[in-house]
Amino acid sequence: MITIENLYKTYVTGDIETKVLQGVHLNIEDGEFLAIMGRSGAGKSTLLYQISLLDEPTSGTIHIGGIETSTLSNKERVAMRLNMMGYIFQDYALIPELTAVENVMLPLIMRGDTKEAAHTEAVRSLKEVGLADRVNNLPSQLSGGEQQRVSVSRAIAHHPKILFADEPTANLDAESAKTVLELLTRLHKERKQTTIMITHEREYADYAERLVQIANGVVDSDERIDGRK
Amino acid sequence: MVLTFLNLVVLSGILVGLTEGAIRAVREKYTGDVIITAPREKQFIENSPRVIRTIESFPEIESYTARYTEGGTAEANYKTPGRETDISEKVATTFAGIDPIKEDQTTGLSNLLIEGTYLEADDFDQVMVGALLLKRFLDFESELFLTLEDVYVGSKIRVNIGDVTREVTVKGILKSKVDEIDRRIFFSDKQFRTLVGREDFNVDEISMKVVSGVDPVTVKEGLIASGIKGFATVQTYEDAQPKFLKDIQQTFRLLGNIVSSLGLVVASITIFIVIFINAITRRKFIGILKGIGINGQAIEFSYIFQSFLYAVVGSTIGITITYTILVPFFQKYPINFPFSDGILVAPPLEVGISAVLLIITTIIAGYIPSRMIIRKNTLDSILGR
Repeated sequence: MITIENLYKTYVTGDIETKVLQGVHLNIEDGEFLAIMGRSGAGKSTLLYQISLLDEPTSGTIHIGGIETSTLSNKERVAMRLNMMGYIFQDYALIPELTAVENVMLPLIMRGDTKEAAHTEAVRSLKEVGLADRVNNLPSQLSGGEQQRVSVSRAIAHHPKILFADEPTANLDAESAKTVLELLTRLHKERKQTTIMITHEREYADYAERLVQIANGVVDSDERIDGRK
Repeated sequence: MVLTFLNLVVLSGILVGLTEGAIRAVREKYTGDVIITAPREKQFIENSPRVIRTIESFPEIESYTARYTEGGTAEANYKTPGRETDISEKVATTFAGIDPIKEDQTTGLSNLLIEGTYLEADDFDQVMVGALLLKRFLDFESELFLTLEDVYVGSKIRVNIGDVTREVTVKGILKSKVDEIDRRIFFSDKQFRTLVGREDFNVDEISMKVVSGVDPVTVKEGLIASGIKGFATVQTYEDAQPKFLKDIQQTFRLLGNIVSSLGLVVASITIFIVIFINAITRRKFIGILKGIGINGQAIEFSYIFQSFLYAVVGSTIGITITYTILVPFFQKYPINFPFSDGILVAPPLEVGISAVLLIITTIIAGYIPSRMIIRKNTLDSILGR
């Protein structure tokens, strides 16, 4: 379970203070598929960065699985990101010189898997996202939708407890976006990992179980989604 | 990196090779591996026949040549009217009486002939003249460096040795970039002995070539132990090197080290820039890698390894080029410096040290920029802030 209490995040640039998060309270149950929406600048991405340990809040607390994240050392945060979390970035964030399978192998090897084991798991993961015939392709040889599926494959290959998706469909056409969202939904149903997805599109949010709207740095609305896609 | 390595090794190697070429020339063409000369207080090597017998009893000595030397003057164009008093036509020089065959076996003197033919044992009133005594081979003029004009093979010159004056014919002209040859006039020893009254066979210099693989020091010590020290000074080619040459070599070595140090600085700046640009252009990916949980130290290590690889591959190729192409090339085609035939000196130990220094410098130069980029905030890197 993820518990967020009274979370503030202020960015300071010179003399200018930008208060982005201004007291967020939020509980996310294990295995929940949560969509976060909001207008540009509302603070949704900032909230994701705090939960995913990519950034540190100005004040407030985040508990993940009962651990208060502000007590973690940098090394422990890195380890938690590697072992518990998976990330899907909106621009895929694949290493251009590495093939699809090598991109997926990267976090597995860092976790201590042997090269052979990592390769087997990466191929299996790529099959799971429908890219069995693309394992040895470089990112430049894949379409946007395929690249994002490699990114999904990399994020799930090590069976994370929490999957973060930061506007995963932002750079995709409608067809590819639908494919990726259906993939996320299927993986969520099969694996029951907590999934937190940022999106601009209400239509895409319908793939989640719950929708949290952020406005002016606080939770504006929090609702269950009926008729999930 | 290959060029940087070659810059480290070749520039300093040629600087050192410049003097090394001169030292090698003196060894090969004049002193041999071991040279015996008269003690400072003596005019010549006393008991020379005994000394020579001792030399002949050493199996480590492959060949030797004994020389008689005497100071004097040489004149040219003395028959031309109006030039009788022209002092530039008279040069002070050293005359050497040699056994042409033994000299050639030991120093390869015949190979230094640039004009004419080599002296023979029975040649009478015929000489070989060092090129630096002739104006046409000297590309500068100096009051201290007098030369003879219009002297060619077949020209008559007049030699004055003590009270003896003789007219001799130039049979050959020698050029070696070794002053002891290029500023001398050579006679066959048979005539020279008579000319200077050395019927006792006491010579002034004996140069020896030792058998390949034998340390000249061993031969020197053996000769001293045989009891000839009382009549002669025994030196290896290294002992006999003129001090100025040793000083120049030290100076060039120092210059070489300075050039190498500059090369290392250039190498480190180059690698710093390469790694910095590489890392800064990949900052976003570095951020993403850190974001997905890749340890920053692992990324740092990859950049350090990259630098290491550049240095190792560069050094390996550089070493290969040095020993398979450059060193043999400069041995075969030395650089024609005015006072020596410059070769490339690349002792394996020094080349190895250069490679190690290059690798260490490169690793440090690669570590700093990678550390700078990797220490950046992960989120800032991902978002390109």
